[in-house]
Amino acid sequence: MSLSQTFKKSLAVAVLALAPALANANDNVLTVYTYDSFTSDWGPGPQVEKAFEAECGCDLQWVATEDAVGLLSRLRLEGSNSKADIVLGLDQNLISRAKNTELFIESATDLSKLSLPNGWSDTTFVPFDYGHFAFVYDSSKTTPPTSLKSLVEDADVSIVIQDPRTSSPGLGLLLWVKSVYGDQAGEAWEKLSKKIVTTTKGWSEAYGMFLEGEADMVLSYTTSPAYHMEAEGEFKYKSAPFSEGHYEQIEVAAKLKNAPNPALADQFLNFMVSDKFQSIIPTTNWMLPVAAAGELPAAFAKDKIHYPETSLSISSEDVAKNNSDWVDEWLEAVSQ
Amino acid sequence: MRIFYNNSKFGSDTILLLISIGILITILGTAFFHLALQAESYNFFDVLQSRYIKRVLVFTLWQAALSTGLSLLFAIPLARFFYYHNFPGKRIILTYFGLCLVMPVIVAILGIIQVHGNSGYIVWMMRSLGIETKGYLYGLFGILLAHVFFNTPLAVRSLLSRLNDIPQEQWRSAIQLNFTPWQRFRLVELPALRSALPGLAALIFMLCFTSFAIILSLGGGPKATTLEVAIYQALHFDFDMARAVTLSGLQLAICAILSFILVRFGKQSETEISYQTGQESILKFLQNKSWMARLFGWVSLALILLLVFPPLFSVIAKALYHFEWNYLSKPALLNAGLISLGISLSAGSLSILLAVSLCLGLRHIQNRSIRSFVETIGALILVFSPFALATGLFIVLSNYASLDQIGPFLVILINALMSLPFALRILIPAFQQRFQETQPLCISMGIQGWTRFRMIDFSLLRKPIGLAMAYATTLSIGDFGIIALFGSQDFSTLPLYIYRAIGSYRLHEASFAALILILTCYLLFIILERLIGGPKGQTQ
Repeated sequence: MSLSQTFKKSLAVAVLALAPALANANDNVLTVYTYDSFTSDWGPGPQVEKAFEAECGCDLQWVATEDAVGLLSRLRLEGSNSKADIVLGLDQNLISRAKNTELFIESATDLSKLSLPNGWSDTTFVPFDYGHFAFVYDSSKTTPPTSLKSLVEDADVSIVIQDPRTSSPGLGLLLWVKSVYGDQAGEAWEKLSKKIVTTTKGWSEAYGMFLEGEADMVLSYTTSPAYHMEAEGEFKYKSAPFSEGHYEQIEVAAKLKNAPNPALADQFLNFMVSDKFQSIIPTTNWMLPVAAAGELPAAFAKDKIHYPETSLSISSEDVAKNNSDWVDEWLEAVSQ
Repeated sequence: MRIFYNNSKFGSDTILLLISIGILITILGTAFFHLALQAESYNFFDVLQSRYIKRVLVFTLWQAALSTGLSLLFAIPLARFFYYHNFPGKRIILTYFGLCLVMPVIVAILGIIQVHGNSGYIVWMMRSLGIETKGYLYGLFGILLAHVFFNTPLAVRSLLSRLNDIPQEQWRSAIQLNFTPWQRFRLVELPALRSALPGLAALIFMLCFTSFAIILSLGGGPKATTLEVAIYQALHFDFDMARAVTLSGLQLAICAILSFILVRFGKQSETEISYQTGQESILKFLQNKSWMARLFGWVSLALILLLVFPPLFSVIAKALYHFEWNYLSKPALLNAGLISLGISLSAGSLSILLAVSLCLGLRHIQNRSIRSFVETIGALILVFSPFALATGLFIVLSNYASLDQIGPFLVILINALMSLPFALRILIPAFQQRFQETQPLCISMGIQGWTRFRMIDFSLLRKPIGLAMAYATTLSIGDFGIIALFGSQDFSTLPLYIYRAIGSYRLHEASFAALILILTCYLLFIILERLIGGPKGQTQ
């Protein structure tokens, strides 16, 4: 076979392989940008897609980035050329930063049905689920500390956490430590850093490492044990209740100003707070629904997973204002 | 100033050279120009003054220097050992070393974690022996382990090929003069190694300096951050173009200066990846008699085998042990496999097209400055941050099409560029050597242009071209940098698939996909090398 034949052949293979990635120019399409794990086979993506497509008679297409923070960068990179109608998967801490891009527009969604513990007032960003950060451990192997202070000060455990610059749980822990330690957060991080096996880019890597036994505890959610109970019948994983309270995460979605298909986008945001969508969330995204969604699965019962009494939170404006200082403080402390 | 060799002149080869250099400079220039335009304000000084960046810079240099030093420290005695001794399994080990070079990073990382991680075999053994340990992998140690894993095999093969090139006459003289082992090393081997060491050290240093996936997975957090990781963070998360441009410039400048210094030390490096098999004949008489050298050789061999074999075995064993038929029925896996093949074959072809065009023109050039200018551009592509390149190009192209449409082409283009330095390392010396032999004939018979390439060059050079194509393609199939930036649900390659499977704690499936990736990679290598290179031994 001559060189040119070989080359033509490989080119043909390439074009064939790329064809599916290129063929999606359609009018009746709703494009939703979200993070990777939302769209995976076991995540909410496939069920949400099926349910919404049946309702709208349209084609819902997911575009997934690695993580929530990456979503925002991608939108800024694409600017007004973006084909996204909806961005789904930012959290309340990122709202101010997202608003600064001026890429989003107010929604017309009816928020009265929402039943969040601390209420909700933002009209651009619509919540779709919430939860509390917590350290998850294997109760057959580890005795967990009972407070964040005890984790920092004296507990003899190894932990895996996520980078606050790249992951929303990572940012959550940064703010959790900030709300407990205030100005002493830097010193707290210095102490904590001795217990950190590794800091990963995203939640899923960290959780995978924990399950492989690379560390005693992992930063995740109070609802994570429910996954193991429901999906695997495994009861040894628990989240450690901390006496200071747990930092809250509310995941949100919003419509883009330049959405190619604004009507479908409105329809989707309404669908998002409906029973249908909300009932998919608990057993796929393993978070709590933001609106009444019928009966919760058994593993979500009050005696099965921990529901924190104190819900910690720092306002989105404060986060946006101080974010880079706090991240620098963290960087300084953990790279000693 | 003479540009061409005596018997060469401006012709179609030169036009090809100019076009391909033009393409390269346009791509690299456009990317950085548009990235720079995006920056809101420039505070180069501020960026460089930041304590964090200083620390990142120091760490980047430190880990790269250590990795280079350690890789060479292992490689020199090993190369000598392989040169002097024949033992069962030598060929297999050397072949495996060749494959280490193209082993997808994500597979190696998976294997290294399975062996060395906090729940890996070694920690398990230590604990069963009663040694309490919290594990040792994450941090500088893990980074060095992975860098030595990738670079020692490369260095051994490259140094061995230099030793094999030592002319028989020198050995005859050495025997006649009754050299001691130390004299043999200093007077015969060292000059041969010295011509290779600076170029080799520069290559390994650059590879470690720009390391990305290894640092992210095994570095253990912000303490271990390289400039490349900082560029990725600036672009992907902070959207800080000014910072990304500054850091990319810094990375480029440091690597350019260092490689310039290193290459000045020795003569121009020739080829790091040998396509010739050395002659052995009379050397059997020279088997190294010193038991010290022998012991040292065996110990290095044992150590390196313990380092490079178990991770791959572990990945394969886990994949086979936990195999489930339903892994095969997943369309996502098949899809990722096909896209991987398409991307890597296109990137490999594009890379070879560029490399061959450059080499065809370059062989006529006698002027040293022009030659080293072209060679430097070729080599320095290695230290252009692929993320900065991709983002810059995306900004230009986003006015014409969406990310989904451009993504695949950018992935192909950047991968082709990133494998170009490797292709050039194989092709430049090969083209040069054949040129000296065939030029008089071609001049006297008036053969030129396409006819010359088809009838003369390709038939003589198909072996190195095949090898270069095999390397360029398999390096692209293992890429896990650019694809992380442009991948989506429908556009995923095998490395990205593995990464996602690890991420969603489907580790058995990840091992299985890793097995598929290794098999694809190695089969592709062999097929391409044979298909283009012709049957074994045809041209050598």
